[in-house]
Amino acid sequence: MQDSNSRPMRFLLIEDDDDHAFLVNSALEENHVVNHVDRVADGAEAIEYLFERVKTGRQPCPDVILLDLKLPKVDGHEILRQLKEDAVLKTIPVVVLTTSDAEADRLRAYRSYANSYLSKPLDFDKFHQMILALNLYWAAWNRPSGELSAKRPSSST
Amino acid sequence: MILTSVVLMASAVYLFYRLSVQQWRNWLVDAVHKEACIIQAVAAQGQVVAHHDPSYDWKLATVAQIAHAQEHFKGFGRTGEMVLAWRDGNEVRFVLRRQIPTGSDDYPFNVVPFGGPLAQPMQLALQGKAGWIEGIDYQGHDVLAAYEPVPETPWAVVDKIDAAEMRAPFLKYGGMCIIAACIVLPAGFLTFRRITAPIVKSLEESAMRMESILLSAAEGICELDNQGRVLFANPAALAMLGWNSEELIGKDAHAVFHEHRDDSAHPAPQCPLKATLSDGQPHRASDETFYRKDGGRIHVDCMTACKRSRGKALGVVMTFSDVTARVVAENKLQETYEDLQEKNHEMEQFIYMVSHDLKSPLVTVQGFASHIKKDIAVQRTDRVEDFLARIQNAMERMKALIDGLLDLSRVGRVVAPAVGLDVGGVLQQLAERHRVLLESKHIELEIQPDMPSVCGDPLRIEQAFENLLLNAIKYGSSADQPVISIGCVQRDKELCYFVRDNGEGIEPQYHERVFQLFQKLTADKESTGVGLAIVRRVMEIHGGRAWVESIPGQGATFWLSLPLKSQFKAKSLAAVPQGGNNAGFQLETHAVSVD
Repeated sequence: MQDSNSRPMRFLLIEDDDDHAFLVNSALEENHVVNHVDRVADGAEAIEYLFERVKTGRQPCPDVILLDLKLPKVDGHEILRQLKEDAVLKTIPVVVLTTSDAEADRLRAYRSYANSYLSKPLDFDKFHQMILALNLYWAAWNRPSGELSAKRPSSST
Repeated sequence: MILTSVVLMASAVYLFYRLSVQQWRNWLVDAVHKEACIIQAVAAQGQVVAHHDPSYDWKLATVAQIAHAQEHFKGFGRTGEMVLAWRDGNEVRFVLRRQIPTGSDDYPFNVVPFGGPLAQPMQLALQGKAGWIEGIDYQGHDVLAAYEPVPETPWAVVDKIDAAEMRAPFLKYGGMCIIAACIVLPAGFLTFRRITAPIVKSLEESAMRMESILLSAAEGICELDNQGRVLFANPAALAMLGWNSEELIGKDAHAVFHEHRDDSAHPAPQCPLKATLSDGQPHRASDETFYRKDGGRIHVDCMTACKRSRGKALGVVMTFSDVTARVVAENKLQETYEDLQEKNHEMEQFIYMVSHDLKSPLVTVQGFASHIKKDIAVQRTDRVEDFLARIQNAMERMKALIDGLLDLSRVGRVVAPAVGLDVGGVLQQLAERHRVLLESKHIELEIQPDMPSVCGDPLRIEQAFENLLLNAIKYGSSADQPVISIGCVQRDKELCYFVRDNGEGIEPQYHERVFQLFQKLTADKESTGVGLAIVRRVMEIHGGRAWVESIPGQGATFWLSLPLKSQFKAKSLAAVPQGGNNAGFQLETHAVSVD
């Protein structure tokens, strides 16, 4: 099950709740896959973070985006819409990770081309398992698009 | 009628009588002429004899001969006779009357004075005239007479008949006719009456029934001619429209009470009346607006049908009933329905928000509790305190959320009677209440003196001001010299209160968002995202508005506007209004000077 990527996976966690961010982070750290996690706390900041990277190209784009829907200033749906309209950013897998289990939210997220939709469970163990599996799937098994691979400092097969 | 008949009959009889008189006259004139000729001939023969024999009295002989000739002649009529006479000085001497010679041997005759009133025809003849006359005869009777002198002799001849005899049959038959008329006509009249009376009675009853139906119908009924002009309107129609009959009759119905008076004319093709006038078919229209004389409007269901007689269109009959009450009720129902829809939508939004935001602290609590459990299992204690603090914070946030939600729901639900509220006083109290907080952040609070007071639910208004003050303290105190100023200006018909800070300000795209439930601009844990939603709700139920004006970096100004005079409209968020005292009382705002 060892991933062939030799460099750490870059996660972008867009989450306004510090506690939730802590929980997600700690779960990601427990995985055997080496990760790099950036966290932004509101929607406007997230947009700035992503588009700045695309524009300047100085810093690498994240490999996976974990997106909460309920955010200050710009909400998750709007971020998703803007991401998926951008030629480069739309290739980054977006996993919606939110407390909302409302059908309207799920539908809207998938219509905006979200790659996955996960509802934060109240049961911590489940939550933990979910993050572990998420990490495993996106960071170890899933093969990212070539476009972003090209921008990586190093890659091997 | 009898009189007319009698007059007509009398006229007819008189005409016949005149005709008869004319015939008699012609006959008499003819006869007297012939007789004069014969007498002349006989006298001429006698004169010849007397010429040879002087003793021969030719006059006597002539008279005798004429008398003899007349012996077998029955004459004419009962009173008709031929009279022969001559003039002797001032006397008229008759020699022959009624076919019989008058007098004895020496010319038996009767005598009447010449120039007297009697024997008018004979006097005329003896003057040498011929002709006819209706006059007096020698006996003093009214007669029709023809007269002619007998040439070559001293005599004149008159044929006459009594007027009475001529009239008698006419009088007789005329009288009989009149009597017959007097009997037959009343009898005929009675018979006619007897036959027609039931028909007339049933017609009258039918007409009365129709009229009473028209007059007592609860529906408005109008009869209109081919041009759509009113010919008749029943009392119900008049009562509904507020016109009286004289005013309405002859007027164009569509123009008078159907056409829109406000903006545009009611399009004629949609008018059932015009439609029926043009195509002759019945039309009906629901919820039409008719205008009353006083300018008021009523909603009617209206039906029009073509009025025909023997296949010819004579106009239109329009019936309508006032459905204003129904329409008002329907409108109200629709309004309530829409209100309910809106509420439902709000409710869905609300529940969605609540479920999301209330679940969030639970995830936190569960997560950290599990972490603590794991740490204890491996005897790790360095993080426990931090984790417990996080759990505690989450619980407090949850409590704050629940309190905020309860506050918000109360804003729409519980409405205290509106009272005059001294805003200046309220603000002083708030300043006192949060003095410690203000001092700890070194915030200067300026409250404009002489703040106008308002009328409203005191607790809610106070809550709105408090939320704005707390908001300003929390987010507007980033400046070196934080200042919060509160004041009021009057714009048009509104009192606009403001709470201004000199903090960071808010970017324009978030000006609306900050008032929405659970919407925050920062990720901090203290804010619940309920406070400004409550402010807006409080303003809405007072008929006012809440908004923010801000230029980023220059602070923010939150505005509350209240109408100077308005209806206190209770608009509940998610709850049915309780009791009946929450709507309909006046919200009056008046300036009161306060220190």
